[in-house]
Amino acid sequence: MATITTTPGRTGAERASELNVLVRKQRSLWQDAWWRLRRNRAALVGMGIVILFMVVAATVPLMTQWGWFKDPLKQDTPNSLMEPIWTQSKYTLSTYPLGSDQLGRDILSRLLWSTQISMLVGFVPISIVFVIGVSIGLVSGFYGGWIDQILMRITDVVYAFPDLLFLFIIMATLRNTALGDVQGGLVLIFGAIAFVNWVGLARLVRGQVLSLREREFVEAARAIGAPPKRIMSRHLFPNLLAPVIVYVAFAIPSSMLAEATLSFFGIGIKPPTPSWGVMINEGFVVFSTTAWPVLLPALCISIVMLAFTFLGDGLRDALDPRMKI
Amino acid sequence: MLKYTIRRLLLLIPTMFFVAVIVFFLAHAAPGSPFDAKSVGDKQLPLATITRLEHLYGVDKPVPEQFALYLTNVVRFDFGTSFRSGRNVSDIIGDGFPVSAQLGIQALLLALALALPLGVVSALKQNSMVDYGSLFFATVGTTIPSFVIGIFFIYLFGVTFHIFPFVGWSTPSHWVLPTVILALGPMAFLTRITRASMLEAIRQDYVRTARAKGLREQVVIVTHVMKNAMIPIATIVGPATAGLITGSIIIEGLFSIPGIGRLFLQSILGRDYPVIMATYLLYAFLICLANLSVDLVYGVLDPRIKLST
Amino acid sequence: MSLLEVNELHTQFFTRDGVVRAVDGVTFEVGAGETLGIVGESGCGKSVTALSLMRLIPQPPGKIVQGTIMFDGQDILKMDDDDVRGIRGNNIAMIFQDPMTSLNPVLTISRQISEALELHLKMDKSEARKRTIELLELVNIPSAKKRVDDYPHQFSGGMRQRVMIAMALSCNPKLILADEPTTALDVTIQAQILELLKGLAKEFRTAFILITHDLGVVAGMTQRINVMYAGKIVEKADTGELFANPKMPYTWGLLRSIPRLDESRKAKLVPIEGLPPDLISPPPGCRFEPRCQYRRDICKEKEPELRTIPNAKPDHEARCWGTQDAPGGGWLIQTDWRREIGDTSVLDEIKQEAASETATDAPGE
Repeated sequence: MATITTTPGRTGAERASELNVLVRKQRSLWQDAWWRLRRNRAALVGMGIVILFMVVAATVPLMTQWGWFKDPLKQDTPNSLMEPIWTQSKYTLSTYPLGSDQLGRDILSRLLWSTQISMLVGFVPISIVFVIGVSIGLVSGFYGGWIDQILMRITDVVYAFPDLLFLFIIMATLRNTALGDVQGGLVLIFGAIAFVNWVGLARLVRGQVLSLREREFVEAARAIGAPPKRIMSRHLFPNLLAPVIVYVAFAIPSSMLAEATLSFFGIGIKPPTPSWGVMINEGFVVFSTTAWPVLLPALCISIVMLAFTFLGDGLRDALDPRMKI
Repeated sequence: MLKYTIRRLLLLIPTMFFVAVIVFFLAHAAPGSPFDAKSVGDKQLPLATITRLEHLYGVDKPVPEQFALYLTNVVRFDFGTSFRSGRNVSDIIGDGFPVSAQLGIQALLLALALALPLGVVSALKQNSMVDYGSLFFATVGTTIPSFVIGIFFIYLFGVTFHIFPFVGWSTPSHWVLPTVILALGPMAFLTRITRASMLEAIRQDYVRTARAKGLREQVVIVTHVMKNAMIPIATIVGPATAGLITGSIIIEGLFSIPGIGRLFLQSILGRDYPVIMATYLLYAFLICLANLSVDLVYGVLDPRIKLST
Repeated sequence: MSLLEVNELHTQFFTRDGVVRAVDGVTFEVGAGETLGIVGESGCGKSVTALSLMRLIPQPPGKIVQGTIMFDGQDILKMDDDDVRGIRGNNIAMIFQDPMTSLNPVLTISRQISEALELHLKMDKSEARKRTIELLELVNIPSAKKRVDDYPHQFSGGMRQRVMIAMALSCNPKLILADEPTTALDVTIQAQILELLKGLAKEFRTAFILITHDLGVVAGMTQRINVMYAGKIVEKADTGELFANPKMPYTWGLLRSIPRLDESRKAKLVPIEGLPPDLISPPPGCRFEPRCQYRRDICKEKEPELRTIPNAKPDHEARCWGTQDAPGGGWLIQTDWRREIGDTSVLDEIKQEAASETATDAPGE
């Protein structure tokens, strides 16, 4: 929509009413999307929760250092299996607000530290996937030809590997190797998740590039002599971003879920590093005695995943309001 | 179309080959021996026994040689013998497959039976209580991990209220919880897809044309809208079965069901190579079939698609 | 009494940004066997008028808030839903603009045409099929018998539109609404389709309402024309009269912007500057005033009515202070629009305002 420039003696509103044009603020597409996102309350709540967890993840080492929370690794077997303070049975201790697990470790602090792990598992692999997937998808879609053919064959093979199964195998076989020991098993998990997921994004980007490539603005860019790299970065890439953002928004919780599942089956993060999946795995053993060591981390996972899903849905609605999924 | 199908089926072979290569080498990349207690948490065998077992099963040969040997056996449908139990792998799989198949089919049918009507009604009555309810359910079902929901259900129905048993697969009442939990994910996903597909179809111009002909709304919806809406849904069922496969591994592990999923888990943890290979190849094959089915269904349902031969 | 009498039709759309008055008081009639053209630019309300006639306006955002539509003596707006459905496809049929999207891709055209036959004329399957083939031959689809079981995507654009025409004709309607039937087609096919429609109108004595933005299309096809602008009818006349003796500056602008064979090649096309008004809060005076180079103060203050005008045929009406013989108006009664293009200073003003609108649009918007 236009803004009305004023001439001396007449305000913008007067001119606007003269031309009978509604004066609306100028908005770029991104601002439009942001405005739509803001109106989606579920998405905002989701975003708030995500930010909250990210803050916790970032500050938890500090908070433990300052003594706000117990050391998550410190075992204290006499005080094992304490109940959370709200149950008020004889098995509570004020120093264990959410109770303790079977080795006497404080559940609250383990939950908080797990947040850090989960956030890392959510964001690190997806960053790798983003870089690799977008580059390969761009190149493959733009140049076509034999590059594209090779990529499609590779993706066909990788598609034959359902993500989780392949992750299982990678983790089960490699976690006892040197690679698996780096950073408490984290590097292996990051690598495995990234390896399994880059194909999806590459295919998505490739599909988008294929359809964008034929659009007039690309033809126009070519006509003025823009080199391929510039076309890809300046013209194609910004137009890809919308579905890619949505993909990323859903890939992050999917990645967390994968880690939780792996850890639940004992082939994920190496104990004693806590993660929600690990906690559920350990808590399952004492499930019949007390359910809290399982329920609490399960609740955490659920909340974070729901938050990301609402946010992802909101982003999808904001960036492409015509899609009604 | 027959030619297309055959061609795609033949293409499966090189794909499966690559899968086999990767999995084989990956499995053998794990350090240590499959008979070494450290890696399987079992009773430690004396070294001499370990060496003899390794020689017996050919594990001491170089890996590429092992692979070649394996291939020659597979072509004759001999999948070897399990390291753990000594039984014929084909037999083991034969025992587990019917269980998993039953679980999977039950879950799929349940998911379809609930998701389709829910999705359709939800699309027709947009923004009603039914719509919000089903959207909520769909969100929860696709978001919260299935093992988490499984745990909640076990706690509720198994431990607290003792309604359903949750270990094993012996009686029909054992079937309830696992089937329901396994169905939840696909059900939620299918509901969303159905709703979206219906909404998309309803907005099309040809619906306006149908109404302009004076057809009753019911006829418009069933004949014109749903026929178009079902196309994307039918194609999703294929890949949804892939989800069922991975889900079944988790569910079988959780509920201790003697199916292929649990077999897979155990074989991975126990470094039982022949079983790992066989189950993985089986899964890969099923998934390839499922993916192939997407294209075939499209070809049948949508008259605009011509499958290139 | 005429076949169709529309009186003070008001159709509005209730949106988040306000109420859009898409059709704001439209009155006209169509006689049996007559072809009426409704002409106007995009957004003027012509399609909405047609959809309102069949009560096909989607109810949540849209609503027909006022008016009567008398068809064959009955008010369509007062009928219950079943009766309206009985009329649709049966007594009144519609041809839509884009035949690719307006036909169901997964149903054969035989099925799509037979539907109406089975529903309204109560034919059984074999009768309907026979009639369908007849209809396809009527609209000049070659090898109709072989192609009747084909799917829409197997036809070309022109043929698909013929299928739509066959569908509309199937139950022998008294009135056919054709909403931009040739806009999506290329020019040579356009001519064929229009010829077909004209022939069918004559043969079956069907009344037509032909909606288009293309003055060339209505020239050869219609007996009368309504010119619409911003939700209102601004001029009504017989076709010949409208082209020979138009009496409203908007119509003048439309006619001026068409290239003519008898003009010099170097002559410039004169566009109408500016944009149509916002239908959520339309201006209080004449809606065309901001773009009219013949405007005067009264045009801004009061909205003119649609009335007969001097120096024209008796049933020629226009909505313009300048051409009406009314107190405060009449300064355009003697104007020869072909030669006098109005006050040049006003023209410059309009050009400036239009330019400032477009110049301040952000790049990449």
